[in-house]
Amino acid sequence: MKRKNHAIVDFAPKAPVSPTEPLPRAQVKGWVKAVFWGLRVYIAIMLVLVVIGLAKGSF
Amino acid sequence: MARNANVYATKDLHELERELRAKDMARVARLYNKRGFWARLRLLLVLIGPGVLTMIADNDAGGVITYAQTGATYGIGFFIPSLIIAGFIAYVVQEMTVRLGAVTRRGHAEMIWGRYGAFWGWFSLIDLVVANVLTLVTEFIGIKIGMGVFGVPGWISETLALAIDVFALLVLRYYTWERIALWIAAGNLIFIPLMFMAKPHWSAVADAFVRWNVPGGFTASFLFIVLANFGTTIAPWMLFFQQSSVVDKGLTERDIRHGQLDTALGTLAMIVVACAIIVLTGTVMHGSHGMNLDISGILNLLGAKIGPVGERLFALGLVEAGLIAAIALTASTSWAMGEAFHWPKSINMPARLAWKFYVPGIASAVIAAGIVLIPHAPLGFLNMIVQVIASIFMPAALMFLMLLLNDREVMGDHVNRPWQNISGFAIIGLLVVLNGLYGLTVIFPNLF
Repeated sequence: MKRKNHAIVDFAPKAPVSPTEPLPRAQVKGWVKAVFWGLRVYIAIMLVLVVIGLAKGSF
Repeated sequence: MARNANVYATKDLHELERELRAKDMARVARLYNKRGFWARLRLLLVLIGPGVLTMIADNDAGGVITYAQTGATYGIGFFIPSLIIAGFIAYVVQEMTVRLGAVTRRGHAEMIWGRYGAFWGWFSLIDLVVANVLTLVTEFIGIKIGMGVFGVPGWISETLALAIDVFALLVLRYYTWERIALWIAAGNLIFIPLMFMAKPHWSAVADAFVRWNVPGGFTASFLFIVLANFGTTIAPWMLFFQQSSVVDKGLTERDIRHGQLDTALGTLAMIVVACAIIVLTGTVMHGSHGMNLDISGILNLLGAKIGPVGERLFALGLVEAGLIAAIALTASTSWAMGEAFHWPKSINMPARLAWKFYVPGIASAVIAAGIVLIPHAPLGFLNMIVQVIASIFMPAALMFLMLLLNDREVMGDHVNRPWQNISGFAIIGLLVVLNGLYGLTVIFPNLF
């Protein structure tokens, strides 16, 4: 049963990066870098709004 | 030497995880080799699961309460058509998790951690786990209130729900766990006969699509309820949960079309049930003056308007909604922790070997059930914090999803098509604008 299962898994479509291998780190450059900066700015703004909301007792 | 032994043991566990999953994959492979209508139907029924489960679990106790309050406050005019749009949004987002999971065979937390590093990995993981625990609190509140209608004391209903949740996770293999969860999820459909009991005016429902207007104008409270409805339809845990489900079930590229159908069926069920709740409360409660719109008030009003059977069926629906979401959230926490720290991460794994994987999920459920039982706990405040965390986290989670779905190195030919990118970025933009507007109303309450 064990060997049979291995055979079937071997015939399954291959993932571009094998699930058993470590995942290579993505290169953050170009538009992806801009996206990450946008994300940081968004999170910072939302955190400031949350702090103001808490201070004003809006929650 | 001891360290080497530990490393070897972990490798063994990962091997065992793959072997156990291979059994499920072997069954699917056998079904693919069979011909004929019944074999195809059986294959579809076997592969259906992650999508339906995610979408139905999204109609959780908090969601049921939000939809009920929406119908009671605003009627059916604006929100029935807007739920169709929300359903489209939910499908677009969740379909991406199917492809990501099936192609990479890795969970969402593992992908973020591996591709974008520990900072964003921790950011996502902490947000997810905190939001999951607080959302679990709302599920246990729903279960407690629902069972309270049948005279069951809170501590008994919480203990029972916790026992079912923990038993399912610890004892069952993935496939059995999923099937049992699907049967529980079927209970969500209880809101459909309830809607018919309210004898809705179908002309008013049809009219909602023709005259899609904002009832009472654009106000801060309207914006809040729009946010709550969108927040109820798409939530960060859904991304993590469905992708991990796809991976644990052993779905591969070959199963993507079935996964898409599964997600579409789940979306349809979710939207039909959400519409049923809004039509129900919109029909029997909208326009009543001076009513109490917390969940106890809604249950009392339902009892008064459509009778005690209606009240009890709604209470049962609330219990089911809380239970199925608790099962999903508990698993989601365990999967995310396992993926982030490279522990064995499968519901197939025996509890005594993979205790590290099971402990975070179970601990989250125990903490949440415990909070609900604390007298005078600030449950309303906790509910608000869930929404705040989800509002901040959701655009970030979606952004990671979009980055990964455009990453040819890990997705190969399954990267997003242009319409999927346009839809995905439009959804992120919509969420950012809605969240930003809501944030502004916090600072300037008289803005609208």
